[in-house]
Amino acid sequence: MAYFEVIVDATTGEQTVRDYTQEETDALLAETAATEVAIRAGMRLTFAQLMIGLVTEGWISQVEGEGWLVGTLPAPVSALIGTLPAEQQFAAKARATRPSEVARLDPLVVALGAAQQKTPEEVDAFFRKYAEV
Amino acid sequence: MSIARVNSIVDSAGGNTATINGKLPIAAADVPALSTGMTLLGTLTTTSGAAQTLSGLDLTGYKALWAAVEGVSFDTTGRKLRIDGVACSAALGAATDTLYGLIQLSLLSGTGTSYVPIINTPSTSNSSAGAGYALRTGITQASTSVAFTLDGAGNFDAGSIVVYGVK
Repeated sequence: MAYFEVIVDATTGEQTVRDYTQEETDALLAETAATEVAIRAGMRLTFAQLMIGLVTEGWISQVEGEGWLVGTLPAPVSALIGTLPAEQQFAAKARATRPSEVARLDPLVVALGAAQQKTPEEVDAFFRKYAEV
Repeated sequence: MSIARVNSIVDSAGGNTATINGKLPIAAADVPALSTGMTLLGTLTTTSGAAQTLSGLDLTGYKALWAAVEGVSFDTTGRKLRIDGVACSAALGAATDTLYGLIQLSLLSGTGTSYVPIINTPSTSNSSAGAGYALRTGITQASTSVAFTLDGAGNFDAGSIVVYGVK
């Protein structure tokens, strides 16, 4: 994507467009990548916020959500945990069933987002939105 | 019926000065111009570009700068508005989110505050999270331009920013 600056002269109102140099574009993209990693690392949801978000967005059904609240993981989550090495499955199930906090960069969240064909940006937007409820 | 009392008094130079109802009449031309008030410096239509800059400014006569953010949005979620490279708004949580609010800077120090939350229609999706900032910018009376950008890759796609100078 090409980036540009719109410059408006306060005296004349004349508008000019200046294309970003390659150096400016590279710096912008590098800063963006660093910023996104830092922001994602700080994203957290409570279990309740996660459930509200997943059901509200239709990422899981209300029946699945109600089941998860009482300890029954939705089939896609159980299936994903089933793909992990055997020694990691119990810990993953425990974290998924009764999380006190859900981190955006938790490997299970990343894997579930990908398995549900959600882009990283969509998962970011989900965390931002439901951190407010 | 009121009666105007017209007298004359002796001023400090020894001359007579007419008064009306005890007050000295002053010609409008003799009243010094008030050095207060807000002046519209320019409006940026933030519908395109990664940066929007108001240039050609002479801020030497101003003590403060105000910028009203009016329905600004970006084509990339998660981005904040920046003034002079300093974040000054909430981060957009959705493509339909819009920013409204006010940025105020002292031109003596370049410091100030901003409060620019997400305000949408319908109002159910408003958010004030991360909307308030303490700002330290390089914008002073010596500056000749004011630049607004995003805090990462992306472009403006709606709204405007109205910039005022305050004397």
